[in-house]
Amino acid sequence: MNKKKWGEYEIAGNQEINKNIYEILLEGENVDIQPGQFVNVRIPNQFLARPFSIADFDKNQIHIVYKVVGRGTETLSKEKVGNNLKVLTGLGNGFDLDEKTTKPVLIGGGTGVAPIYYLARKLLEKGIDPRIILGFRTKEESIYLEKFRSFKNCQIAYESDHLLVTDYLKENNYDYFYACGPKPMLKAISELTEIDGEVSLESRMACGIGQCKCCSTETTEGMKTLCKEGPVLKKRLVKW
Amino acid sequence: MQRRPGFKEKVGEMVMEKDTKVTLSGWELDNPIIPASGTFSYGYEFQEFYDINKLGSFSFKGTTKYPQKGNPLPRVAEYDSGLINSVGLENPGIHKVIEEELPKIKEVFHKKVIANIGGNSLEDFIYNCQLINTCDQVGIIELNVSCPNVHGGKIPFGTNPQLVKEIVKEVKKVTKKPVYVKLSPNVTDIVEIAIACEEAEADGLVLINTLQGMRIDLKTGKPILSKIMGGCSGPAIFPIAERMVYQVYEQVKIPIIGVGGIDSAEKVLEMMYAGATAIEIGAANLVNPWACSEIIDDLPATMEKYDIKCLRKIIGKAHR
Repeated sequence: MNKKKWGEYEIAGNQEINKNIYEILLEGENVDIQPGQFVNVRIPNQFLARPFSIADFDKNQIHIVYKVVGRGTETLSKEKVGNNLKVLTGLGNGFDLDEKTTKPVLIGGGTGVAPIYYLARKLLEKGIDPRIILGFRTKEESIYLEKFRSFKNCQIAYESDHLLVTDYLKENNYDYFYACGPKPMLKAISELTEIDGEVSLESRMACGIGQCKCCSTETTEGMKTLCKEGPVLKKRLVKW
Repeated sequence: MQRRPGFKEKVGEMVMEKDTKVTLSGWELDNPIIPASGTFSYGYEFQEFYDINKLGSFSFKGTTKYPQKGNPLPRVAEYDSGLINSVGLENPGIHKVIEEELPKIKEVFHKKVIANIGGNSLEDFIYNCQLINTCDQVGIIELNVSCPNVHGGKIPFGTNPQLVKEIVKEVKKVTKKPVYVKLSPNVTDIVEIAIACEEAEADGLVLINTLQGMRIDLKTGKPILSKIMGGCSGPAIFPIAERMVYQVYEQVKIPIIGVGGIDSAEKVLEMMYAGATAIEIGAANLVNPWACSEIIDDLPATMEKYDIKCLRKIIGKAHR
């Protein structure tokens, strides 16, 4: 397991990639972050650090896609390139890349497509070309489509076209799923498909290391903290 | 002389001798720093961040008779200078703590711990303390009297001096370990409750627990926390905690562990001047897992800055 550590990271980019959705690039020391894991970012004037999943990662570069939803993310969106932020890395249980799957399907919804991108890239490195399904409310709200273009097997469902990710999921030629997005979407996927898989869940968090139990939720195997035993949980563990 | 972390520090050519030892009911701690219950789990999980043996001790997660699942999410909200939690004492129950958690603690932590004990009835408190009494690893029992009294119409025990008195008296009958009472600040007069504890022969006091508060989400117009209200902690409550420690110190003789918004060696000194013998650190652990370690490292230099050679000697010195 990779080590949890604080690091000073310089903001190398922080731009709006769609309405209210930003991508920030942080550069700092070399660490190891697995797809589905998250980092805690100290944002000026906010008491608690904010958990963010990783959209892409390479040695010392962390890409985060975030939506402005409150005071913390609003403050973050105004942070200038060149400023430093303190980041706690190595948090959470990410997607399981050791799963014996040859035909996985990756499903992302909304800003949840971001961690799916890093996962897809890692799977490709392992020689697995995954099938990808992305879902957005409208074409205008889509993000990261350029990046996903490098994957030949990628479909996009727009709710405004009366299409949901689950509509594409019905063609049954895969053996495992990885999903990240709004909870109703994750629930729909888990209920629709009979294959095994895993989902990345969200919650308000505090410590990020499983101590305070502020994000503890009931699973089929008892209480689990989403910041330590999650955010990625196997489908069979989730109580919808 | 053997070198201990947080005990001696080299400054230039001069070696400072700093005495950070404090004593709680005959138990000598290397330093007064104790992570507060609920912010440090069962301690051993923090071993991946630093050697937890440098701590004075730690207070483990609030433990009840039966396992508790805690409250539904969301359990946490934030404010400018702290957080509000309504975790709801999620814990595996006293039996599992004794059978599984204490042995795990023993593997990495070689000092005694503080057992934070909760209960929904007088019988629960007695039952839990009887069991904890047999555990050599436990140095002090810390009674959490902020839990609701199921039999008494869900009024927290800690808000009624008579109820607190009864619990302490009965618990004292079943244990030889020092019994400290963690007091709720959500009362009209905390001094009255503190005096009741001393009259019941409590060995010490821990103050303060969290202050009740709430936040509303403007997008929904509804409370953020599933249980509507929760306990405020963090730097915002420090002046309130310090005031209460100061007031209580004037009226009781038993030792006080000061807790509430402490996040630096300076605040440790302040709280000790107000009357605290030892210090618990809560919310700071949730912001920075290394918080207690850093405060211990900062203590000698901060004592030097304020010309303090022996930490014990400043306890209560703010009183005239």
